[in-house]
Amino acid sequence: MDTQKDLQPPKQQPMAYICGECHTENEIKARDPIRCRECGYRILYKKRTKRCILVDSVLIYACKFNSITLFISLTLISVVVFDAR
Amino acid sequence: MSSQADISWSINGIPKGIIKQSLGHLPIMVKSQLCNLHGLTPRELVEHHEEAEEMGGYFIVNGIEKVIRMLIMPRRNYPIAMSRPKWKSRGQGYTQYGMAMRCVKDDHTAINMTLHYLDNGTVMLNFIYQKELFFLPLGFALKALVDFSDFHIYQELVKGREDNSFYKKCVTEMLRLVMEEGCITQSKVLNFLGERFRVKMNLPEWYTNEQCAHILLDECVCIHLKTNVEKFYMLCLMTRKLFTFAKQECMEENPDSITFQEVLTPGQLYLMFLKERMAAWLVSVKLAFEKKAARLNLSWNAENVMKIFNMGADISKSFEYLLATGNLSSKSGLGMLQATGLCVVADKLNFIRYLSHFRCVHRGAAFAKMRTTSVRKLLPESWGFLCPVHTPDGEPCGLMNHMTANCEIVAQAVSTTSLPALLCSLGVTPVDGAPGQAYSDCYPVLLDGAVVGWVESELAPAVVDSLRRFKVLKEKKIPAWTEIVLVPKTGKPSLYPALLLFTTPCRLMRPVQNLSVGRQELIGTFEQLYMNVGIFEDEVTPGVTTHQELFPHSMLSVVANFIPYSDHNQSPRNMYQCQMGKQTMGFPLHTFLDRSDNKLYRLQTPQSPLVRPSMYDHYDLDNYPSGTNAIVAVISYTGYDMEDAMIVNKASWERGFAHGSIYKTEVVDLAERVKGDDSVVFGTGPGGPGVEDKLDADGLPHIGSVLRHGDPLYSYINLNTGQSVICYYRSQEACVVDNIKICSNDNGSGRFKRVCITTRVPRNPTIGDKFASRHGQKGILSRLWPAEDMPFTESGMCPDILFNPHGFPSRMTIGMLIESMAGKSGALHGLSHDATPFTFSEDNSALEHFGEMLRAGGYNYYGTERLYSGLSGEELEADIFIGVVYYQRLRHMVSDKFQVRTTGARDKVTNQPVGGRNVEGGIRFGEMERDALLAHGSSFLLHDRLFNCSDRSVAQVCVDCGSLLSPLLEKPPPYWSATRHRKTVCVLCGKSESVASVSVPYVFRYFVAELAAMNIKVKLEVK
Repeated sequence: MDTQKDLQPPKQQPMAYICGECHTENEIKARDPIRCRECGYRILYKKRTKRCILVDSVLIYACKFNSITLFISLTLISVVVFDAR
Repeated sequence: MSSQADISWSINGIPKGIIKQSLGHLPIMVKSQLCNLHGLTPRELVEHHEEAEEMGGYFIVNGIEKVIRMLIMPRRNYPIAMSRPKWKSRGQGYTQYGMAMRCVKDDHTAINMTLHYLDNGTVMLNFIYQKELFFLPLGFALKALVDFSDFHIYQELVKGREDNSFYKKCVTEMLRLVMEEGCITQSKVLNFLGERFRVKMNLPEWYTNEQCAHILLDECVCIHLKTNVEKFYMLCLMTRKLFTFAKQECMEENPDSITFQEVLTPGQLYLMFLKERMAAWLVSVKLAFEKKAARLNLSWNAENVMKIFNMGADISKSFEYLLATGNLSSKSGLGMLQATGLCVVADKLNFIRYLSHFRCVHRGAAFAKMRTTSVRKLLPESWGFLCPVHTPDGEPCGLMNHMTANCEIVAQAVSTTSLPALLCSLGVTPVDGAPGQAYSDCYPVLLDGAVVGWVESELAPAVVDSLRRFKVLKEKKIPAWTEIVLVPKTGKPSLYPALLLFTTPCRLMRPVQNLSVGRQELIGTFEQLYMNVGIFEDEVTPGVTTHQELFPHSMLSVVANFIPYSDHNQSPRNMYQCQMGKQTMGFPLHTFLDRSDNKLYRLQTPQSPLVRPSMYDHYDLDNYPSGTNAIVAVISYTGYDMEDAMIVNKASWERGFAHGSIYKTEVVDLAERVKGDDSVVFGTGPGGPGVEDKLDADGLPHIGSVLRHGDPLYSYINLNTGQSVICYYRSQEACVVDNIKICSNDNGSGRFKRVCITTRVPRNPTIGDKFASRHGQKGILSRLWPAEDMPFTESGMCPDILFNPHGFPSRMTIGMLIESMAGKSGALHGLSHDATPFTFSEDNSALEHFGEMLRAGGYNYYGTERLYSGLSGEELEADIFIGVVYYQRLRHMVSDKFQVRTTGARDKVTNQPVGGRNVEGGIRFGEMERDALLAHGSSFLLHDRLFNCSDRSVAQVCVDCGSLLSPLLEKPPPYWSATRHRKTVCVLCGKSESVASVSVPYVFRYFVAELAAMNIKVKLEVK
């Protein structure tokens, strides 16, 4: 029991969800009630990810870096592909 | 909706006020008056995230749309003359002749009542009370109903049959029987009846016998009528009809004919069920009262009474159960023949399928088991009401019918109190009056199952004409849905003559043009029999034809109306198309983002058909298209189009031809999954490798990410313990996360506990997917053929689809040929052609019309073209018929059906490979397959299939004692021992030399063990 309690409490960063009615963004934490702050609508939609979703596993690996470094990663890919050939 | 009852209560007759008591929640029909969507404009509906053209008519239970099925019922309040050989076994003297009537009260309580003809000339009244069958001699019933003298009753019974001495003798005999029991007056009869029936009635003992008898008459005899005098007259009429029928002077009425049928509507079922549930609530409250009162002498104040009321049974559960399962859990059965299959899911596969759920009429599950096929027959009476084309083939053929596009069901009920007076003013003599002529020259007049009078034979047609005039012109308070039937006297044994008026709900009606008034009129199923309705203009004979059909195609259902040029097709092909139209992938709805159906199909690139019947536009089907216009060449090209297979141009496929996807939604409710623990939330724990990458911090996958088998789908975490659980994507097919909805609860206090994960499975056409044109011509995609190898026309055009010409001669779907030509000419001239059936004929041929149009566009008159082989570039010798046909993609796809196995799961007990696609099982190599291999003598293959590839195992057997069970492996030798070898020793023989290895099926060893458990020894003779 103790060891489990010793585990650091999981990080609780709020994430943004879009209201189904008025399309405003709501920051919601894991225990918050689900309700739009603007209009009170009770269905929120998860936002589409900004990460690049590519099918090739090499690409996915490269895209693990966030979007700011995308440019760099793109050059990286070309190197990798070149290497493979 | 929550249902509330105002209960007024009193003690010993002193009123104590009213208690408002909640009885539970009732599901509400969408778009009904109580629904929040009622009366909203399309714009408002869209604002509420609904379909703009939301039709309603269904219930929503557990998030699933449910429709209560319409069932065929016998026509209410009309005595049907029937002969059933089974009735002979009801007792001594019973014959097959009877007069059955389904009496329905205004509140839709129904009861069946039958008059039986006995061979000694008497009549028995048969009714059901509390699920028990009772028989009562008719004389008793008649005398119990009214306080008339015997002579008066006799006179009433013999009306119209005064000259039949046999009948008169029978009537006197019946009345004499009552007399013999000492029942001279009405009160004596009532006393007599009450005395005998009160045992079965569970009434308080302070009720007198007469009161009991009155209750019995109220609840069992002609319950659709309010007064006893009316019931008396009705019973007399039924008796006269029964004798006429038994003497074969009038025709039997076919209960399978739509003439004598009506429909059980959802509202009716709902009302009946509600009534019964409320009665059950009352009984449960009564029990609670008795219990409480017996235990402690409470002071009966409002508070205590309310407490007891709260102990009553909740009605919401039973309604939800009814709608969710379609099972009727009722003690009385509500007078229905079936208790299951009352509800179906309103499947939103495509709009056509969705629509047909609401137009479907079922004969009843009880008839599905019947051996005879007479119920399934298409009768001429159903013309214009039930579609002759739109019924499934196979098991439910003819039982599940669909109403025609024009057909409607009467829903309103109005008071008819003003009608008898109106009838009298038209020349009808009231029941208690005497008509100007003998009764045998008169028609009895019935209004909703009540005898209202007599009308002279010569006068009757005029009465009918003026009534019909009032009905069409909506005068004199005659409802537009009245059915006015004059069953004429023919001098031959035809239907029992009478003037019948029906205004009751639930009847099928359809509009036709009334030629004399020049307006539309609703006609009913019974009425139609005695009407002259023409179809085309030239069929109208003045003086004979009174009505005309609105359209020649108004005999077709909605779905059958969508078949282009269906009058040119062989009829079974139209039936197949009615089935396949309901299986196409299309564009079922506009609110994909708001819906959370378990499974939704979607065609990515649907088109509006170039060739369409008028009903297509009438129903605005362009909002929900379900196919693609394809260039189809009728050519036998590579051989890949044999046997209904079709070749699709690979380039068209790459451009998106018939691309589609499936939306699957999974609802995850943490409150349900981990009960009672509020600290369980969505989120990622430390997790294994690859999990952080695939899931967001909220434990849900990224929108737009691709999920493959074994990828994490979502994860949740217990904040107190830090323990996290990851659930994985289990399907073999890759999908894309389309959207994720986070849902609260009804009062807005719900936390981050419930999410709907919608995934999209791309389903672009692959070899083995099913396609069909709109003419029952289905085929399998057999090959995606490269565009450069496809045949091409002089202008260089490649067809999208190659269709094998062998598909035409035997199937005779000329409609498809016409559609092809019409589509081609439409594409040439930029037109959308009308494909309504019955517009072209022999004289005005479709070929000529479209041929000319093609010629005008510079093409061949017959729709053929010179084609060049894509492989050699040579001109093909034959002219190829090529045109534009609307193709549908059907939902049957190989990806849902393929089954393959090399190795995999085995059964725990038998060690044989398991079966079933979803567990990656194999396909059974059954007895017939075995026989085939045996017949071929291919014993090695047989051995391989049934033994090596199944449950081969190596077992130890003792050669001496022949036992499979006795050889046991020795204990392992001690660690210091030099021998590592363990011997197998037969326990019975005590030696190891006799033990040999044999390969036997594993089930056999199991079988031997099972037998041993039953003390049966199996001895193998090993040589």
